[in-house]
Amino acid sequence: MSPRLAPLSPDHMTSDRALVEAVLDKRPGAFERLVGEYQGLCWHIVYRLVRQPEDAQNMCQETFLRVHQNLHQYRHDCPLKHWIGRVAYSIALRHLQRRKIALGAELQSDEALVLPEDEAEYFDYAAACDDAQAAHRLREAVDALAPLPRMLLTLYHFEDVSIPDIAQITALPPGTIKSHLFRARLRLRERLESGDFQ
Amino acid sequence: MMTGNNDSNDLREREWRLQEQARLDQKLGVAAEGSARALRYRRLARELEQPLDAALPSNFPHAQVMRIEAIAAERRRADKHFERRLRWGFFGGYGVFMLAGALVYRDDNVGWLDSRVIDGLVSNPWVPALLGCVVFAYVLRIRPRRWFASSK
Repeated sequence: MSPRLAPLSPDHMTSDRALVEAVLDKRPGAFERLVGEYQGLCWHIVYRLVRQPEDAQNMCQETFLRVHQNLHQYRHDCPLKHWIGRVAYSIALRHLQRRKIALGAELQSDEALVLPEDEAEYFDYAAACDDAQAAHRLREAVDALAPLPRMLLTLYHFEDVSIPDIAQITALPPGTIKSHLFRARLRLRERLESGDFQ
Repeated sequence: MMTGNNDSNDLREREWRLQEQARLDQKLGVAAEGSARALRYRRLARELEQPLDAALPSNFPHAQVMRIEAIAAERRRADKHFERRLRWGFFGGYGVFMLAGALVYRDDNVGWLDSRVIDGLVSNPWVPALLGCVVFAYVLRIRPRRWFASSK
């Protein structure tokens, strides 16, 4: 299932088109610029899904190799960022499937979801920010999430990619993405309520 | 039952808004305040904005360009080798074809060709053997490399 393509903004069109044309014309430095511009997105998608730095680096290389080989097929019907993101996502997904690692894409019925009440009425935000141990444990809790919600959180929070844009990259319905984000953040909030973070 | 579902949806909607508000406040750098629940989401939003514990090497774009150029150069070199062998193979085949043609002409007693030359070539067993070796060597040199390249 492929989501409807989002309309392009004029800025996207001109910058993407110019960059793609420069790469296809083999202008010096053009492909290096393309890699530099999108390596962060590629890394966040792949590394968050596979978690192994060496594997993730190889997959980023494979992504840009494939981008270089198939760039002439890019039709400018979506931002270049989405097109490259899709390539990275499909490569990482295939890696997980080959290793039989669950993506964590299944969602239980919303009826089964019980919203926890705040057990502690007080939360010392400043202390929680300063506590390096607590920060480490929170990071571990994020790492312990299933690959898909972990990646979605990073794209949404760190890369600042909107939900419709993530839908373009992953071909998941926006409602499913929203549900994964909601549940993952709820689970992490529960971790913050545990004794570790008081 | 209906009321229960509505309540549950309202709760979820409120929770989602808290999560989103924390994300936006963190992006905008607004001071952290509100309920304990809102502050926890804010702490989480702060954590999720931190860079990952591993990153691509700083020279990744340059290394990637070098790698792609090396692959393209290797492919060009392989293509050139293949073309050269194909050319030699073609000329070798052409020579064999010409020789065969000449033999047919001689056997049919075509007068214009000096049969002594053909007889000299055919009567010497080393000439066809040498020709066969040359063709065979080209075939063997081309194929393993092509198989190797396609299995990579």
